[in-house]
Amino acid sequence: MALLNHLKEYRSRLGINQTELGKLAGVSRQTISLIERGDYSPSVTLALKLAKICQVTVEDIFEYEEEEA
Amino acid sequence: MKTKKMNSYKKLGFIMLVSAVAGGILGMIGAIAIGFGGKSIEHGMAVMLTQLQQIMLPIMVGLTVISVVYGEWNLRKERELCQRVRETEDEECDRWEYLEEKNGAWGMIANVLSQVLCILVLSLGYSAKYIGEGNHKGFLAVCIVFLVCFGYDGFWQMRYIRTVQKAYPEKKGDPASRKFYQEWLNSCDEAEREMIYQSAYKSYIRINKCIPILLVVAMLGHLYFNTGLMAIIMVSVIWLIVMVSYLRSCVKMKGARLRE
Repeated sequence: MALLNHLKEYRSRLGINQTELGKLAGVSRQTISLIERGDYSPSVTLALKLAKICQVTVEDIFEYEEEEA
Repeated sequence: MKTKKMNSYKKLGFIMLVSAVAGGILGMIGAIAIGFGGKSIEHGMAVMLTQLQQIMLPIMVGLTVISVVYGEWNLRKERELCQRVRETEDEECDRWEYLEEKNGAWGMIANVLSQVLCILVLSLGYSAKYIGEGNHKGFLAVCIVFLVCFGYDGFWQMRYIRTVQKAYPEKKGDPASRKFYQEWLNSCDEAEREMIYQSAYKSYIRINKCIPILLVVAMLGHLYFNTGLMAIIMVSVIWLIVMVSYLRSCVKMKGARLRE
């Protein structure tokens, strides 16, 4: 998988559930769940929003890994 | 790149060749069947139609009963699943949401199937010849049951959407409104929209694969069973609408981006 993320970890640190994080970011709980599972790569806007909520940088939450050919 | 293009041409040529051979074989079988028993096939179809016309009312009543029983069962299950979705969190909620989506999809498929079957059954007696032969009372009864079933199916869809909206209050749109689909889409977030777009594109591909087959079936039906040109015209028009709508939408969106 090219895009790894630590969203679940940062969400746990904030002590909120997916529904609450979704509300803060203006998306559904399902979208947060999809991002946490790595099934959906969020838009730049949403990634920035999530980083702001978690009070970290985008690079702290999302990690890009080159796929081996 | 050039080699890849050549391969595509070869592949298309091969598909056309196989289709031509298959068409030839089918044509030969058809010609033999018509030669030996063509009239009996046509006679058989007429007999089958007459027999089906006689049991139109029980079929329609049965269809309505099945639609109502399954529809109510499905909606009750949907309410239970939506309740679970509201009560649970995170990973557990994912599982209930999947089950809710699956149940809703089955309900919707059954609902549309019921509508299609209702139209097919009604079409059996939908001819001036049949009604003129003194069957108008029977046909009227079929029409009334048809309206009941069709009406129920329409209301079911509204109730289903309302049930889903209770579990997901962020989902907007009045199911009775003509703008419902647009309102629903507007209330979806980026991940949900991506899923909708992917599903829509898959449906477009499937339709483009199915329509040529349906067209061949309609043409063969016209050739061997004299089913008329209407089926061929209808399928062709649907094909044209699907293609033009898709291409128009693509061009329109590119144009809008250029103007921005």
